[in-house]
Parts: sequence; structure tokens; C-alpha cells
Amino acid sequence: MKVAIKEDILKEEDRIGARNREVLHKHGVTAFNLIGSPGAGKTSLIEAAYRQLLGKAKIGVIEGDLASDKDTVRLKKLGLEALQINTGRGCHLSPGMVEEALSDIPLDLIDILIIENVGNLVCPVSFHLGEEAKIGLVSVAEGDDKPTKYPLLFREAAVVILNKIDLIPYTDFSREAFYQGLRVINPTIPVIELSCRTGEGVGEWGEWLIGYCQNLYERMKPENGN
Amino acid sequence: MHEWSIADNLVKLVVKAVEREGLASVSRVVIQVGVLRQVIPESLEMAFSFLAGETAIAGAGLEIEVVPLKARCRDCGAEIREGEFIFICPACGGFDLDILSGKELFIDYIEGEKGRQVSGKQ
Ligand SMILES: Nc1nc2c(ncn2[C@@H]2O[C@H](COP(=O)(O)OP(=O)(O)OP(=O)(O)O)[C@@H](O)[C@H]2O)c(=O)[nH]1
Ligand SMILES: [Mg+2]
Ligand SMILES: [Zn+2]
Repeated sequence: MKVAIKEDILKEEDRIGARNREVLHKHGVTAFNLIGSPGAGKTSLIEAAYRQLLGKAKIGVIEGDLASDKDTVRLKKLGLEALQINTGRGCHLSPGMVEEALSDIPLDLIDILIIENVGNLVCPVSFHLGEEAKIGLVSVAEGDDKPTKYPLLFREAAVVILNKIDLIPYTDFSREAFYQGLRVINPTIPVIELSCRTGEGVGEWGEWLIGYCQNLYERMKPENGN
Repeated sequence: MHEWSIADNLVKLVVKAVEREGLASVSRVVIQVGVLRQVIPESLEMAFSFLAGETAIAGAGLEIEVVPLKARCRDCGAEIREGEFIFICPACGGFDLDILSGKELFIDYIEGEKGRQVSGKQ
């Protein structure tokens, strides 16, 4: 006999993700899910955000990594609230992992939570961790064809960061090809070009983060009546 | 590689459905997967049969229907069916698209035999 099911396979994951988002809202924390290849500069981008937002907003970090805690040690040295999740063989963070981590992060002390996902451009995109927005990170060193190859990330992200622009003169990366590929996938997504190495463009990155949070507060005001 | 998490969630949902419906066995599980999910069918099948092997639905066959990308332009109403991933309306050049399909991760139906469950445990 045939039994119709008609259910989303990831509905339980989505439910936990939505619950995480509620917890974050309750504590006035805006979360971002940072997705990029291994070595694209995810941790460097978080360090840059920390420096840009010093005195303006307090950042906490969840570090998803296959095994090591190197990135967390790096961030804690800077003075960030950072928490490590090791996914073992898992190629993405799951909402359940983030839920556990949330209970260990002093949410009342932070304004922004950046979740560094496991280095991967496909798997993390299907799992909503409780973030307000996804940040798609690519670096010059990876080549200019990433948007075409990984369309869902570039459809669902709120912003694209192009890191390591200091390397453009030394590679065959073509800005034209990159934008052409990206615009076919997502014609309106904002792009921030920057270099975590030289600091070029990181100001704009900080402003984007602050701007996003401010817009969100504005949008949420009437609903909450405050 | 997210095939493992998808399979894990899938097996749990099917096992629940089997208990709910009082099925003795499951022969087929039919799901829809949108192209945008970039799932590798062979990996998903492998993960599914491995994870199902430890449950009441061991041996069930997984059938994956890959759903192509389909969208509608909100400006001019044109329907877009592309083999490639192009998110610009070919009729009017508009960007404001309604994605109608291509993002599914969806269990459609299962097939099995009614009867007392041999083992209802996971
Ligand atoms: N030239 C150059 N190198 C950079 C830039 N940003 C980061 N790097 C270097 O790229 C390497 C990887 O940077 P990380 O920030 O660790 O990258 P990640 O994405 O966090 O890496 P994983 O967590 O291991 O996946 C490091 O050696 C950085 O110093 C940049 O703008 N230009
Ligand atoms: Mg890192
Ligand atoms: Zn149109």
C-alpha cells in the first residue's frame, strides 16, 4: 500500500533553527551564518569585523570546524567570546549543534553572533541555524567561477564578500568573469571587495554589518511595540 | 556530503510514519530533491541504505526524483525553465523571480505492507 507523507525532510532541523532564532531574538542578538570554502578567510573576516565594530557592537563567535580549535584560540586571543564546535566528519553545522552552543555563550553580553560554518559551499546552505542572514564568502585564490558552481549559496546569501583582492595581480582571477557569473545567479546581491591582509575594504564590511542590524531593529520595532 | 544528514532525517521521518501507519515493512521511499540542493543521488542512496539498515525500515529502496529549476517572473509573468542556473527573466530581463521548484527536499510517499510490525524499535 501507498502512504502519502508530503513532509519536508529537514523539517525537524528547521524547527530547531527557528527555535534558536527565537532565543537569539529574546537576547537581542543578531546572528550571521558565515559560509565559505576552507581557507577563504572566514576567521580573518571575523577578526576584521571585531576590529571594525570595537566600541560599536560586541561580537560573539561560534566556530564550526572538523577537528581543531585553532580558530577559536585565535579569536579568544583578540578578546572575543568564542565557542568551538567540532563536527568530526560532518560537513556543516546543524541547528542542534548551535542550540547546544547557545547555552554556553553569554548572549546578554553580545549584540552580534557570527557563526563560522565548516569550510564548504554546498552543505551548510540547506541548514538554517537560527541566523538572520547568510554571508557568502569567496576569495580570489579560489577562482572566479564560484557563483556559477554553487548557485544556492549565492541566491540565499544577503551579501557576498570577495576576500584577498590583494592577490588579484598575481592570479588569473577575472573580476569581469566573476561579476558576470554572479549577476546571472543573483543580479541584486551586494558585493564587498576586501582584503583582510591589507585592510582595504574592511571598513565597508563593518558598515554593512552595523547597517544590517540597524535595518533589522527598524523592521522589528512595530511588531514588538517598542 | 550533506547527504548523510539528509538521510539521517529521512530515515527518522520514515520510521515515524511506519509506526504511525502500522506498517510491517517498507519497500519504497519516494522523495523529491531540487537541483539547487546539489545532492549526489548515489551518496544519498548509500547513506540511506546504511542508516536504514539499523532500523525497522531496513531494506527499503530509495527513489530520488530530481526536480528541475522552475521560476516565474513577478514583473511579466513569464515562466522560466532553465537547464542552467539563470535567474534573469529571458522575456523582460526582470530580476524579481518566484522560484517555483528546484529547492525541494521532500518525502512524497512510501510503499509498504500493512500488518503487525516485526520490530518497532530503532
Ligand atoms: N593574501 C591574503 N591572504 C589572506 C587574506 N585573508 C586571509 N588570508 C590568509 O588565508 C589563510 C586562511 O585564512 P583563515 O581566516 O584562517 O581562513 P578560514 O576560511 O577561516 O580557514 P578554515 O577555517 O581553515 O577553513 C590564512 O593564511 C590567512 O592569513 C587576504 O585578504 N589576503
Ligand atoms: Mg577558520
Ligand atoms: Zn519577465
